[in-house]
Amino acid sequence: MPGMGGSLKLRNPLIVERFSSALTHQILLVLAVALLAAGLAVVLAQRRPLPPVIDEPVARRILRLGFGGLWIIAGILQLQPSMPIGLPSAVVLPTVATAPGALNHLVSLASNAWLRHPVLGASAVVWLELGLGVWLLVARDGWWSRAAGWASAAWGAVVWVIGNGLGGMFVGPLSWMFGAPGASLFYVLAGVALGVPPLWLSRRSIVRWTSRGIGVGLVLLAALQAWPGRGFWGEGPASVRPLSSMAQDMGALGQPGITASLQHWVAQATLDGSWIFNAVVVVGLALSGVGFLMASRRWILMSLWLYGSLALADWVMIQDFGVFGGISTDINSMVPSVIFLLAAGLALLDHRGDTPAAIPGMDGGGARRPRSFGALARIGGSAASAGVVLVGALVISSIGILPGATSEAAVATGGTVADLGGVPAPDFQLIDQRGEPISLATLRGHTVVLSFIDAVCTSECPIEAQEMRAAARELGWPSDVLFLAISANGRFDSRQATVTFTRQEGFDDWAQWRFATGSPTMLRQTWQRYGVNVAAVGAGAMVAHGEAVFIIDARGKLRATWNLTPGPDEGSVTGQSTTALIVEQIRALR
Amino acid sequence: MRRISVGFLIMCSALMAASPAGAAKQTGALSPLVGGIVGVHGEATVVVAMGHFGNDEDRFFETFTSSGSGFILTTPKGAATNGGIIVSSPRADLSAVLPYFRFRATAISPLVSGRQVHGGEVVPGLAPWPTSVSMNGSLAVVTDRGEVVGAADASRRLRRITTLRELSATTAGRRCGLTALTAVVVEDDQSIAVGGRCRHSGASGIFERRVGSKQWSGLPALSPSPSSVIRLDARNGGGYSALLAAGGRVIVSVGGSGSLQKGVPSGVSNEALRAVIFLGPASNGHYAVTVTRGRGVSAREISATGPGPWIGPVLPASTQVVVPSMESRPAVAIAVQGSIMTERSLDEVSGRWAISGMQRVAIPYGTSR
Repeated sequence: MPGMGGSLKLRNPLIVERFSSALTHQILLVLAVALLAAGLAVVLAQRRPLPPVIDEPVARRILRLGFGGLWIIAGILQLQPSMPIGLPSAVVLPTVATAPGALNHLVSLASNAWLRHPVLGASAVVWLELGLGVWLLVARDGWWSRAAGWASAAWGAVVWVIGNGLGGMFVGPLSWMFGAPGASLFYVLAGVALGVPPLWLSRRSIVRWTSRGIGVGLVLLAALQAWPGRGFWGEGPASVRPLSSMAQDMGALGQPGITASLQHWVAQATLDGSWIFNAVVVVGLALSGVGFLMASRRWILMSLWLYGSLALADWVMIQDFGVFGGISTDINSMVPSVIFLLAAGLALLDHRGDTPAAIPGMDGGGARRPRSFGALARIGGSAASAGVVLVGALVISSIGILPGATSEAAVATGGTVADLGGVPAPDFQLIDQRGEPISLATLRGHTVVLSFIDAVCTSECPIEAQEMRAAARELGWPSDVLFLAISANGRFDSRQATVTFTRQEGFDDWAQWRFATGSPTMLRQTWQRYGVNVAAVGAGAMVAHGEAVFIIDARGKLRATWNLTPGPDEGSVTGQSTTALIVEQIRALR
Repeated sequence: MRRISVGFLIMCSALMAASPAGAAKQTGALSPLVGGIVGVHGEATVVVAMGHFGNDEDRFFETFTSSGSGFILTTPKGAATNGGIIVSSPRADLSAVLPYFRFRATAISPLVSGRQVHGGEVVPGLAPWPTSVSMNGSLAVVTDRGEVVGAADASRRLRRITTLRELSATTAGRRCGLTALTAVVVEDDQSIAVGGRCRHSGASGIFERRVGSKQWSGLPALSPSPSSVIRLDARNGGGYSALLAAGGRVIVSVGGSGSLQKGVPSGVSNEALRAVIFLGPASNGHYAVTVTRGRGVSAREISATGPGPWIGPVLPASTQVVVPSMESRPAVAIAVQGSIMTERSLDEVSGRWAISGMQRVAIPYGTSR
């Protein structure tokens, strides 16, 4: 209905099918790139001496394997059918709804670019994140491994800023319990740690300063959690207590019964006992922070156990494992933070004495390895996964510069295009804006895009008409396609009204545009035959009418119909996507 | 069937001086389109702004017409009214709806006794002033592009009658320094008068074209200050009433046949003006003006013979328009807060206003719902 707006349907079957199809088709491309990259890397590696072997520090191994696994989980979560439309609209944009203008603008730009090509964007991220995960797991040492770290950090930063709105710091109460400072930030930190020379992770000064940074961070998070007046201590009305509200919201999302019950219990328990939960978290975070600041073996072990226990409890009870209900892109912040702190803690434990760490194989260049199958396989695997990451990165970068839009956003907004299978179109006897009679017989030989437009509609109808013209322009102003609008206002239905609308929209010179009207009886019959509701809804309101579009072929048969949602203007994502949908449907008949 | 049509205006002089020619857009608390008209049989139709006054998208205009049991909602259906409504020409059953959103046309809807009948028309965008449309046998409208167009009736194709540029080029136009066209009236003999806004004090801003002539003649200035035409309304027996603002004051004058008779100063400050009601063709050019008075609102009748007494005590600031006592009906004040319209009737015995009705109007879109 004009003026009533439209909302995105995240799991539109057509988009789900297109996403699935795109992934299936892209597998061939991805495999080809991976094989090519792997082959090239192996050939080059065999011509050069292999780099010296180093024993990977345990902290680095934990980061590499841990975050490699997390990227693979994230990549798998990106396969969710609702991701093409849902990621920008239900995940990304809400995180910056109340953010400062610059961040909001940046994220909106990125989201709009995504929504112009949602299937392409979603599939690119699948390959990008799966590639990153495999790359980190396979590339154990050398240049390939460090490059994987930097790639991971770079994508993590993009996700943290654009996908996560700086860790969601502008949404709701900022709290470690709810994910602050953002899961992606740990991916960035881990990526940087993997990207620097491995020896750095064994340098006493770096490890100490990292430990102090973590300690200060945890103490600050504890202070934030303890800050009064934010509802975490149970103050204020029950409806605004964040812990209970979060648990209630989580519990309402679709998930297994056992976790739903758990969320329900947490919601009840935190209704009156919020202060107990908060006190435990504040003390736990503060002690963990102090442990990292003290940096002795006992304190570090205590911190790791304490933080690990807290994080696990929060992940289960508050964050609902990070994957249930809604659209989840990762398993939230607790697991990455635990992996990162565990790596930092173990690195610190290696330096409980005063002597600098020595890494076997790093003092003096290391030993030379024979070209084993395993080594070549790792190089090949690294190159293959790097190739996949490169494909994903290039594609996700390209959606910002690709012109126009695909039809997915329009389909998600207006509903799936229904195939009418060629049933005869209902007839009508009307006149167009030039006073010429118009009926199915006069339209024979033309493909007709039939819409219903109100000449005094002030919201969507003018935009819809402009999108029709944009479609005609994109098709090269074809003479065998007519764009026929039928008046959808029972009061302002004169031919003069269609003339004024045509002039207002600048369509006087567009020969293929027809705006038809007729007697009240004939208009009512036409609306009825095409199933279009037209109703005067109230004083001061424009007429409400259905915005169905029909495609009629040259033989007068109905081929397709859908509910058109023009969007805020013809240049918007929905507007461009609507134009693309019209073009797509016409091309399907030609 | 009694026929009514109405036109209306608040025009504060500061806005008049500052607005660009022919494209005034109000963003303040009220609109120049708030006001009303009394028809030949004493029925009053008023236009009030409802919803969120400061938000063009959420501010809707609604039309109420007096009936035996108070005012009833008579807003035309089928076109959004968040751009404004002009209810004009008492004898012509005509209301015009001004949609604002990227729409360059205006829906004109016939009313009969305040009720909409089938068959609206769409014409080029009207200028947003209360008498920029006039129908008295033939139709004439002032467009938002500074043209005056007209036709024998609303269903005929509108043809250009004159333009701001043409009138500005006349001797009177140059003397006046015409910056905008704000009003048009079709007289009983089908002569047409056009009103505008002057930058200089050399002319009244009113131009006439007599039947059978193609020449426009400007009428002389009535005041040493630049004047602006707020309304032009046809009078029974020929000629028209003109409501002008000059020197910060509102003056009622009587025009026609190339002359303009200056009325007695009304004493009403142009800046205090909130709404004007034309009291009908038979009223001998009487208007009821609603003005800001202290922290409240008050109303009085004005005419070429001077101002009448204040109508009742001071009203709340939310009052938009006051309809004076007509025949056996008491004076009624209409106030609006959001989507609620409140009627107050003046008790002639006690001399006090008392709430006599309240209506909630469903605002169709936006946050005002």
